[in-house]
Amino acid sequence: MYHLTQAVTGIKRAGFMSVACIIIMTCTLLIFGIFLLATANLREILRFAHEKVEIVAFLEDGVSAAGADSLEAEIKNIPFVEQIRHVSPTEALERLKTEFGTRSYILDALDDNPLPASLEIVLKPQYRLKDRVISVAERIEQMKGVEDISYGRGWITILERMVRVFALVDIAVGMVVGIAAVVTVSYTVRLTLFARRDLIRVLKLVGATDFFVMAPFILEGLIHGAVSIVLSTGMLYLGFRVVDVKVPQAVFMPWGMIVFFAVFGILVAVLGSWLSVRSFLWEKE
Amino acid sequence: MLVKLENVSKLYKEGTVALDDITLSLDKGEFAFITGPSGAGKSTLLKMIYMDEFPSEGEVRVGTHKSSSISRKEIALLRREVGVVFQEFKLLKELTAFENVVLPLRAVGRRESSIRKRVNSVLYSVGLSSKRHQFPLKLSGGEQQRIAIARAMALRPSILLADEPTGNLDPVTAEQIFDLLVDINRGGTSVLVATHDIRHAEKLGKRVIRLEHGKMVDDGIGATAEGGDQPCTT
Repeated sequence: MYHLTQAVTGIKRAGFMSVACIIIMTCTLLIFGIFLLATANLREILRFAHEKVEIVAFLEDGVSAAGADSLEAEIKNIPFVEQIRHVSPTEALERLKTEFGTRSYILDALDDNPLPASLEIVLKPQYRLKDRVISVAERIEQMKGVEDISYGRGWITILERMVRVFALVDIAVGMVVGIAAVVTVSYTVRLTLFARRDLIRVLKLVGATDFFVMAPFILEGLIHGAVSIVLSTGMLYLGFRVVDVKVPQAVFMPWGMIVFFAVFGILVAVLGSWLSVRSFLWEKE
Repeated sequence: MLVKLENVSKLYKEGTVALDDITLSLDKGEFAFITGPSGAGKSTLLKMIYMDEFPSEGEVRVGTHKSSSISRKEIALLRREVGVVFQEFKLLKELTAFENVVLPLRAVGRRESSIRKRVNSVLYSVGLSSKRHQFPLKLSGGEQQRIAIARAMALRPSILLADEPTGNLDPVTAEQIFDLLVDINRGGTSVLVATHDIRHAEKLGKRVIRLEHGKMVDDGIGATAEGGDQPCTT
């Protein structure tokens, strides 16, 4: 309780500097938060894409119904496969007509149905990752009776690469924001330290440990960090709600990411105060 | 042996020799003065004992603590056994007398109920019970020094160090402060007073350690200690 009272007194005394520190920290954390939010949405798109991932095996002409059934049974034996659906050439043509909509008359000009029969293979959710999809697709491609396969390799690769790039950008932005927050808090706490140098000196003289002397200043940094996190998360959420009206598919940061964001903000603030008070105590000796 | 300095020298970076090969010891319950002119090294010697400064050569031992191997945490523990008062009192002006004396007790984690009891008791022993809620700037110099002494005694230290404790006080008040220090010593606490005024040392018949230019030039009982400055008449 003593430490908390001292921390609150320190914040009150720093006055304008405390407010400035919280504003700067909120802004820097907001930038980091925007990147995290973008990453969260990119991951959501990727998750959605993975849900839709399926392998289509086009069958060679002349594969009989019995041949298609045996091929289907063979594919079902692959442990990652969840579901297989046989699509006849006729059904494929119907689908195409549906997709063409009002222009489906173009397809009426065809004498024969050029579309091959196919098997649509859906993998179990946990195996809908690029590498697993490729390995299963390549295995199916080797099977007798399969002419060609399709599984959207290109765009899955691009999406996964984008998520990786964004994760790297998050780390870089996080580092810059972290350094900015550490410097901001450390300068603010230093002002408080200077204002209370007599108290610190007396406490050291009467046998206070470094921890006892440091605790109120660390708490002061923690309070700055916590307030900045609440403000920046609130502003991010408000911004998200504005975007959400136009892009309903957008998602806010998941709870895990919010916790990470909060811990990050508080840690950099605590680190800033700790560095400041440590150097203050050490340099006075 | 409570305090022991063995061949202690202190040389500052700019080449000033503050202490030069000092060897002395102080027993439990002893009362001693360190005298000498300004710049003789009196304050530096006291700082060595509460380990605010460390010897360039030699070693200081206080109880079980050694200057050569003490850690930061141990320094905090040492200072709970060594009370210090200064000429300029070093009281926090925004805190009342009571709150100033609370600091050491709070720093060592005493419970609030025992803190209140101890602070009242120590303020009573320095005769300031009635002024415990006054702020230092509302008190006289002598009263401020009494609060500083109460703060230094709050943790019942083994030794009380006083650096020119009467330097800012008139002779009558200075006399009262010395009487208080003697009372504290009678209670079993060792007292080491740095002062350029040997009048009290002679009057009290206590041990006097005389420093000049960082060297110990004499160590004896009051009147037998040779030399010395003119008595302080302010």
